[in-house]
Amino acid sequence: MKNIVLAVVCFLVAHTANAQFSSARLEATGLTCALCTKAINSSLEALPFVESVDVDIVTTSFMIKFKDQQKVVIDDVKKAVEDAGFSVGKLFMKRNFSDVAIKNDEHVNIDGQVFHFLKVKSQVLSGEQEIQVVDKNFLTSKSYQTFAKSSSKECVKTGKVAGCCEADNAVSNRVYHVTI
Amino acid sequence: MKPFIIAGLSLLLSLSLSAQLKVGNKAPQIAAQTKEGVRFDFRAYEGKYLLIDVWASWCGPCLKAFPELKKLYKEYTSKKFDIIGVSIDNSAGQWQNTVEKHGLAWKQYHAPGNFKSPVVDAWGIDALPSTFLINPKGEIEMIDPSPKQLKKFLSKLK
Repeated sequence: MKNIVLAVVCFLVAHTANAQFSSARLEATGLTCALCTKAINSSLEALPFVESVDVDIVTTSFMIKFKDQQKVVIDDVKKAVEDAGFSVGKLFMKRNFSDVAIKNDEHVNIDGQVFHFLKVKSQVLSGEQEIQVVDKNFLTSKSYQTFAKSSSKECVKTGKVAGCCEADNAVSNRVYHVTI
Repeated sequence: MKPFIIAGLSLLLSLSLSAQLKVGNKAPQIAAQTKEGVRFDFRAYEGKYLLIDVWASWCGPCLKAFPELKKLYKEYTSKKFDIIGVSIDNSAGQWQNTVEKHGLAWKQYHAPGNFKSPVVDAWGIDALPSTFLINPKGEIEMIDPSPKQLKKFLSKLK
């Protein structure tokens, strides 16, 4: 019996440990060249869940690699950019999806975090996929308005589940608005 | 008491290692090498004013500064003046591609690591491009001079 329990625990741990964002692609904007400034690099590298930060010359983006088995807090990535004196222009988060069904303007709970998919076709996400965060201040004001107008749900403006939708076993009331 | 002394000394040491350089300071070493593997050595530029351009292929403003540097190189390189480029590109391939694409005629050195390159800490670099004019005594003469300031200075050397 003990061995069975141990096996189940190991199975669950293995699955939750792998169920995280692996990397991100970040375009930062500001008055000066974001890529040219040490401040953003240092700010991102100081995040406890960041393993390394590199630069991609083709997309003029920061390529952020996350540590395994560490919870990635998307809001903290934005805060790090803003603390360095810049803004998020675009943020794409990459992770492995295990057959997650998504629908347009619908919430989905992925490993305790609520995501609200906007301007997407109904589909099943599997394998490594990149999703773009489209919450306010995660993209340009104009682009944000396009996504905000695509839903009548209050959470698009607030970023919080409370008031419009159910938390559905989420670990917090933060809902990230994303697209793919 | 001992832990506090050790902590205090460590803090002082870390502050001094990454402190901002000032005009008049002795130029730090440059841990970099050419694509042939030749290490940078100030002795190769003895007796000259040396303009050090620290850049990277992913730094737009760095690439925009190349045309002015080319003019300076063409007009003022002599027994008394030279220019070197030090790239902190992590990728040697991207570094070399950029050097070739822009036809950079002055000696190019590679100190990989992006902002983790040892050159960044040693020279107190916060942003790119960073340029330093070193005098024949090995001291910092100018930090981030404008092309106009450099032309005015270098024209007096002729």
